[in-house]
Amino acid sequence: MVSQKHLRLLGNFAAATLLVFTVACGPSLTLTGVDYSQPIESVMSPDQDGLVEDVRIGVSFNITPLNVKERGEDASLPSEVRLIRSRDGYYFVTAPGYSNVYVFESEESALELTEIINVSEAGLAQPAFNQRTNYIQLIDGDDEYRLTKDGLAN
Amino acid sequence: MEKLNFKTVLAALLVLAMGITTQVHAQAQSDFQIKQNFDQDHAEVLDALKSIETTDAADSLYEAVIDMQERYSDHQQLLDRVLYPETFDGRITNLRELAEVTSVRISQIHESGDTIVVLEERISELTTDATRYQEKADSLNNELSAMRRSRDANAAQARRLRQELDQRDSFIIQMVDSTFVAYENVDLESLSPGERRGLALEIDAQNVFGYIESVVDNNIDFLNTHTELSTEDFLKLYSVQVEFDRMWGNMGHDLAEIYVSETNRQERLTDIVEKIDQWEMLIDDAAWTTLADAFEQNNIELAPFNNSLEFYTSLNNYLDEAIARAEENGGDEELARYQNFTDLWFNDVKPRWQEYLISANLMTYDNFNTIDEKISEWNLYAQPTSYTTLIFLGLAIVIALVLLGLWLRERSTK
Repeated sequence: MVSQKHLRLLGNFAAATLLVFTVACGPSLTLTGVDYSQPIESVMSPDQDGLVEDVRIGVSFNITPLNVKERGEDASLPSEVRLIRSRDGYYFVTAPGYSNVYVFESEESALELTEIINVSEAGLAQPAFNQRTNYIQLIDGDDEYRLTKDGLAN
Repeated sequence: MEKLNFKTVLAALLVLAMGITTQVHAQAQSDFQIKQNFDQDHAEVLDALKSIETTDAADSLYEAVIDMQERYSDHQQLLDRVLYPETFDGRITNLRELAEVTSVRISQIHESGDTIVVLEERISELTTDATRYQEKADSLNNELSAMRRSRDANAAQARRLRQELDQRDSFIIQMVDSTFVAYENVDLESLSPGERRGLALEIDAQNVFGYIESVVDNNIDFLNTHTELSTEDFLKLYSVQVEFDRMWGNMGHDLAEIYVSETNRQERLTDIVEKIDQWEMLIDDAAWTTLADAFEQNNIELAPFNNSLEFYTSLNNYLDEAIARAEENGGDEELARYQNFTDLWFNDVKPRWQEYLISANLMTYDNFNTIDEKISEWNLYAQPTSYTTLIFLGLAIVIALVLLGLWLRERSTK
């Protein structure tokens, strides 16, 4: 005799099997080797609310939380924000006066901080990003830094 | 148009070159800055192209573009990506072509400008004489007005005035013709509105269009006033009208484009065309009337004519009939007719009128040749038989009679 317990197990097994089939038959495709590299950095001026936007590449966000993290509460916004997306899809963000370069990963309607790269204790004077084959080049006057999503490269 | 500021252009080029040099020699370069510099240099070249006015400046700019190409060539890959969908080569090629086209355009404008300078000088020269003629014409017009009121006016006075006016008319036509030749080398379409206004203002003072109108007005006035001129005078006036009409057809509208403001241009053109038509109608009427009178006064009964075709047909018919008549029944009367016609033809028509009849397109050289041939034929039949011919004829009859007599006598002896 099949007990009530066995029937429940059988039902659960069927449901699990159906779930596996459903998942297996859903859209599942991964395109690899994507090159996200932005050929030239975006230089954006924040508006009074801290919103920066580059219509050319189609990105906009509010720099205020980042500025608070870099300079603290009530700090003034930078005159310009520099952003570049690396080949592997990470966003590198900095601004004049900042000591760090912030590395973000794109999420759904969000940029999630993945790394903070300290490059200058005194703060960057005139930072500029350049896209290079295997890294992001940061120049500041005569200083030059090689950046990856994990930090300073050798 | 704003005058050339060559120093500004050179300064701009210098700044451009310095800007390029600065960014090229910097050790660490921002790609963003390179792109910004390239855009700025590109914009400066475009701006300079809009304002340069000499071929030297255009050539210098062309060299600057070549230099720009060389200096940015190391960044071609970057620029190709950031200029997408344009390319670095595309931008540079575009600038080079613009510089070349600008150089050619400036060169053409300067050639036109040179022609305009020559034209202005020519007009200026002619204007001095034209003013003199105009003053003389005013004086003549006063005389004409006085004559119109006077019954004592005679043909000699009118002829003298006419001769004076002829000189002026010829001069005006020559002046306008000369202007036309000069204008043929000027591509008016290539001039900017400002340049065209400048040219018009430069020459408007000399009032070329006014002179042209005065020629028409004076001739109409004269023809309305004087009918006592000779056939030769009227034919000469006719040739002047035809010459004027040709000149007007060649460049009347072009002159109006320059000398008459757009607001009343069409009205003035219509006005002058109507006047020219009136002039033609008057001289046409006067010329045929005086020609008919001339033949009639010489007892030559031509069929009525009112135009060149009718005149030529009438002459031909008259001669054909005369030839037929002389061939059939020559004699002293026919000889008299022949003499009458040839007197007029060879004393007046050919030596004095032919030139104007041809220049006024009323007859052609071929027409005259045909008439001459018919006159020669008429001559053959109209001439009375000569005495020599009669003597030979008499001798022939005598010989024939003698031979007949001899033949009859011999026959009777057989």
